[in-house]
Amino acid sequence: MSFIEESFFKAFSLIFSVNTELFQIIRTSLAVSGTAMILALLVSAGLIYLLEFRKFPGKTLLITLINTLMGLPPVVVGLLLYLLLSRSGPLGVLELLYTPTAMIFAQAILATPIITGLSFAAIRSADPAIKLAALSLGATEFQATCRLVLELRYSILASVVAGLGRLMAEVGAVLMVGGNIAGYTRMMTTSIVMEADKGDFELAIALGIILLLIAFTINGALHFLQKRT
Amino acid sequence: MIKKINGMQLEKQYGGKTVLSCSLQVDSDGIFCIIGPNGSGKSTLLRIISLLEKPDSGELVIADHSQSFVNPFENLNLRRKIVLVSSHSRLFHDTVFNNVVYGLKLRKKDHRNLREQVERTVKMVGLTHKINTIATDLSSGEQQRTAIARALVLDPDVLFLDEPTVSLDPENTKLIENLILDWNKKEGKTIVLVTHSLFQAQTLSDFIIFMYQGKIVELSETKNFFRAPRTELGQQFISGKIY
Repeated sequence: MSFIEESFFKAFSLIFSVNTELFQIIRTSLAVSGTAMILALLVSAGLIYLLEFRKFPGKTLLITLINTLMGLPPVVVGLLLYLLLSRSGPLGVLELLYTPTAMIFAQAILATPIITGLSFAAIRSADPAIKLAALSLGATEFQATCRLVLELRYSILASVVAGLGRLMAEVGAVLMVGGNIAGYTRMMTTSIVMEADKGDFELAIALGIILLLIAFTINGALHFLQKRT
Repeated sequence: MIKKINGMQLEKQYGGKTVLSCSLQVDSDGIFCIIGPNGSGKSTLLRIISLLEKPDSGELVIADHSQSFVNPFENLNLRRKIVLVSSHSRLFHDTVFNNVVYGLKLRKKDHRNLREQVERTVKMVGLTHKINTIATDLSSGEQQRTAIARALVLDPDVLFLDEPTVSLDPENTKLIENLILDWNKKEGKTIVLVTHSLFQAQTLSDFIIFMYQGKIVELSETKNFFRAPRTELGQQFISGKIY
């Protein structure tokens, strides 16, 4: 049996033997990314509301900033958060460095511009006749926008999935602010990097397979939802 | 019940170009047809008097039996007494039922009777067999009938129609024209309609509003307008010299 085949065989054995360490890592990843996703969705909803309904100075600048941050390098977020949260940093007193909370913030910061930017672009490029139809039937501006969001559900869901993809695949920022502590802040992506570095490929491959399965399940669910509606 | 719509020196510009500069009074429960060459400001005027677009200047007064409202663009109650159906109406990507029920739900009408009301209106436009079909999958004629049903179910005081039969086949055109006439006859409410078809204007309307280059050139009874237009422009338009 070749080295690769042997690694895959061991990886599947790990998955099917319900390995405690493996499932602890998956649990941490899902909890951190799930919470970060909820946070990113809430912030994105607030930002979209602001951009769509409120007039304020610097609005164009905010849109440009959000679009720029869509390509934000994770290590830069990690570095900034590290500086803020480190003992001598301005938020050091909160003692959040190397905790799941710090990782949640890092991931939410990365996902928010993607969800906001893509959703807002979808809303802005939508057929104005949709909103006009709702308004002409007696909707308020807010109700008409809600209807528009409902009409754009596929594009907005796709932006949420893109944001989730960014979270699940992220390594740099969570490694810097989470520290990859076993049983506490160790996540799937950081474990893959560490295990591959050590030459222990079976756990890395097992985690890779699970990550792929999660991505496949999310996309499958989206596709199912699109077909059903 | 809305009794009068009075537009005074309404002006609208797009890109520095004045597309509308007119005054208008609608105070009858008949059918008004706005006609005129392309770019004469018909649809702009319709969007303004249906409270969907604000003019750059001028005053729009809408009066019911007890009071008058000046520029009531933010008055939701008043807005909900008026409905506009556009040409190529944009239906929601949802069933015919959910499209038609949308406006009723916004008005928080008694939810027990919603289904009955919707079914009755959908039957009126001849789409009972398509009530659970996704509206955007219907033919263009059926889509326009759904749009009309979506408006009629709300029983508006004034119904605005912007070229409701444009690019429809003769059968669907006739169906929609009959719907408009029947509703006006039954409910006795005002309809303001923009059309490019002189035949439609002649057969449907009680009054003609003839527009040219953003101005109302004539407002007269339909039979008088088509028999003897008061203006040179009106004569040229009827004879097809300007379009």
